Amino acid sequence: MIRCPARARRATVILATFLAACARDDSRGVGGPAVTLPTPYPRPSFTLTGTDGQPFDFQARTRGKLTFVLFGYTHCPDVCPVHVANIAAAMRVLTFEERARTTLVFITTDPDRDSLPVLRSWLASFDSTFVGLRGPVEDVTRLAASLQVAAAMFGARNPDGSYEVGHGAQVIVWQPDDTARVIYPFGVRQAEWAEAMPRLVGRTPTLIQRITGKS
Amino acid sequence: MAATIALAGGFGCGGEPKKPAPFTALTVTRAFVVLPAGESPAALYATITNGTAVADTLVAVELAGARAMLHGPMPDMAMLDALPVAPGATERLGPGGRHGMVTGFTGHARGDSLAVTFRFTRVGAVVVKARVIGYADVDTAAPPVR
Repeated sequence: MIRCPARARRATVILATFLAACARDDSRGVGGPAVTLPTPYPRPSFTLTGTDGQPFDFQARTRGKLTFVLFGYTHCPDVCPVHVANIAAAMRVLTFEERARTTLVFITTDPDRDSLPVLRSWLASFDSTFVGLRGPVEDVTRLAASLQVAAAMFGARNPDGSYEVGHGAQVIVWQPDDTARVIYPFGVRQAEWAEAMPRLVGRTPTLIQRITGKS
Repeated sequence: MAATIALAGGFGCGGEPKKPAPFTALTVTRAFVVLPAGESPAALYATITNGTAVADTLVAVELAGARAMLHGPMPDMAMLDALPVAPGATERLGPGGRHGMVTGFTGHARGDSLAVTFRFTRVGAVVVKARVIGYADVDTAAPPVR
């Protein structure tokens, strides 16, 4: 079941409009190519199925953690795996303790092809701790809309029977205070993720870092 | 029209070509095939430069033992039948933009190199060596199309 923030339910707009309303802004201190949300999102409450086949209560299971959330599908050869690989690589800058308080949640927009084992296997090729979630298309579409992510668009069949699933490509980041203030569009480089990661997880900067403004 | 076969050294075989391609050539450089994650298709990225004074069109990409298709950029990533390359223009197949999708890409490992044929309507086949990389390598090998 998905319970969407009331504000978000009222504001189902297309991604382009949403992005146009946002401004790249480092004023909240997360840095990099983050796009600041006009209104922060509280950590949402929804339940989908985890790759272990059990219900995954997103709010309860990720509360207090730095959480990267993105929608996508495993048959995507381009945007989805590049995003996930870059975040996985950047997480290496975190300490063991910080990494334990960080997770990535990938929500499939293509449940027909993304069975739970397929989802598990795909995520494991990047990081075995990453969370994969699956649910009915209608539920996932409603959840995506509540987070202002463009709904899945199923393309025409290719000659080999495969098909593409267009979807919003942004990564929404909930910080440990259970608030998402920024999203990251596709195209963020590993170095940019790595620079933002300590601040996103809430690492206290050293005096030198405060003076230089670098992580 | 006779097909022209140009051998442009791929990145995986010692970096960029030792001799710059003549300005009059249509070249394909920085070709990479990204190892698939799980059972998924692989990605193919490359840079196509039409140094000639005549427009050309990429109509097919071929790899031994696998099938490649051209796809458009986000958001719908629809399949493309052709990619026009204007005279003097450079077109990138890159992350987030137009790209190749390769199915049946098996038996390769990171660091391998393999021949990839880019077939154009005017110059014919352009064969390059593409390096096999992992998704974590894409950031440096093939920066995103922004």
